[in-house]
Amino acid sequence: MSNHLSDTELVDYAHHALPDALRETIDGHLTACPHCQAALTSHQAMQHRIQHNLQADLEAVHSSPQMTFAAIAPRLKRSRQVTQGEQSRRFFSSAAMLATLAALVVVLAAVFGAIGYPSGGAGPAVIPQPPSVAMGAVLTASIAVADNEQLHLMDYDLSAAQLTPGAILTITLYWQTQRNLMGDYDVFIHLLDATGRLMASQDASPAEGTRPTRGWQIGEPITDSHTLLLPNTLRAGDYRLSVGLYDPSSGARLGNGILLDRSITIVP
Amino acid sequence: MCDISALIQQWQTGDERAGEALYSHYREPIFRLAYGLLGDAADAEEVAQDTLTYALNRIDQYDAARSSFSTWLHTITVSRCRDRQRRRRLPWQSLTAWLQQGGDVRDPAPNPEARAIQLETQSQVWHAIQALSPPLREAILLRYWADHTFQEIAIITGCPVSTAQSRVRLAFQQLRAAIAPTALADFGEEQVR
Repeated sequence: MSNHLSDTELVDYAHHALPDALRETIDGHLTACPHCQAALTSHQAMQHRIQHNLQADLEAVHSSPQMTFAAIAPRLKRSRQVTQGEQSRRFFSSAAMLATLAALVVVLAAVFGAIGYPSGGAGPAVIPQPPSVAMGAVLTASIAVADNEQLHLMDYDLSAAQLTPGAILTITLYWQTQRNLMGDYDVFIHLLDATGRLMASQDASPAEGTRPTRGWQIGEPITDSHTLLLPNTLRAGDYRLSVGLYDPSSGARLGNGILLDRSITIVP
Repeated sequence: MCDISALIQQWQTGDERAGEALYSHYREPIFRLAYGLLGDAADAEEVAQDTLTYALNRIDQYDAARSSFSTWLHTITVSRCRDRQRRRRLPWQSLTAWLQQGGDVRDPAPNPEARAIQLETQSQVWHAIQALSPPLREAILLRYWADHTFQEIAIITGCPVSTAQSRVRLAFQQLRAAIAPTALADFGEEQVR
């Protein structure tokens, strides 16, 4: 018999990975072809053997006695769910922060506007400012990820703004979309030194992969935490924390690239 | 038999014992999945603790309408394992490279020392799985050990269902070639119907 099933078809058949129509066609072929039936039996035997051995290997390993609920209990008590009260406090403290920042900006603008700089003189060096990140329920940084797709980084929390080498930095991002997103995008967190050199990074899909962007509902607040392990070799000083989104299928950053850029101080 | 939904609800209302019961129920399975993915017990234990801590702290983010609780936990586990591999740069090499360097996973012929052979074969299967690329290892573990559907594997690993299917197929084909390279000699490869 010359027209036998391909290995791919047989393997997919054995794994129940074929659509019903193709499966029925193959059922018909198998009934009439002892050669392919024997090949399938061989695949199934191998499949069973791998599965059996893998299960036996994993059932034979056990976690250590140190792996207990008591060991994680302190971490649970510190970071249990955000209660409604905590959310309110976060909102109002953020709103207060925003008001303070706004007032500061107004005062500085008034002062610099009144004083002015001598034309041609040595005014203060113009330092490119990172996108401002307001706090609270205000659209802060937005990104056009594709035609008619707009993502907003509403707010963020940092576990600390001053850390030691080897510490774990946790950053929680609060996202919202105003359009249904057609792509699944990943978040990158970069820690850069003063020269822009990448010192640590973490790439991950939002919320540990549990909330891919394609599934975000319009207006739904998305809480997305990431951890960044700081290298032990990090020197004390000021660093920059950059956050953005990219398309994992192409590696291309979305929008202008950076949605959040702020300083982090590393202390000895 | 544990009523997981009830435990989740009780934990959400602050019942510490429910949290402990959930932890106890999933501790070993999560540890074993992480161990299968990472191949290192200490790393697997850390990942399992992180996974369970994260899950219990973010239990409000679990949506029973979207997936089962174990699927959600496995999603977190896989994500944490990927992070761990990136951070530690855990070495892995292709099965081909491993075989070229003298690795041998051939199945010994049956003989009276069946138990010894079985133990050796298990070790061979294990080493062959550990030599798979991480995406293939994820797929085969989720399918063969955790018994997930392709749809669930797609959710857990963040890929299309068709990719999940092809990863399981490729993993199987690589394992089969490594464990019993002559097993298909009689059948030939990729014959066209």
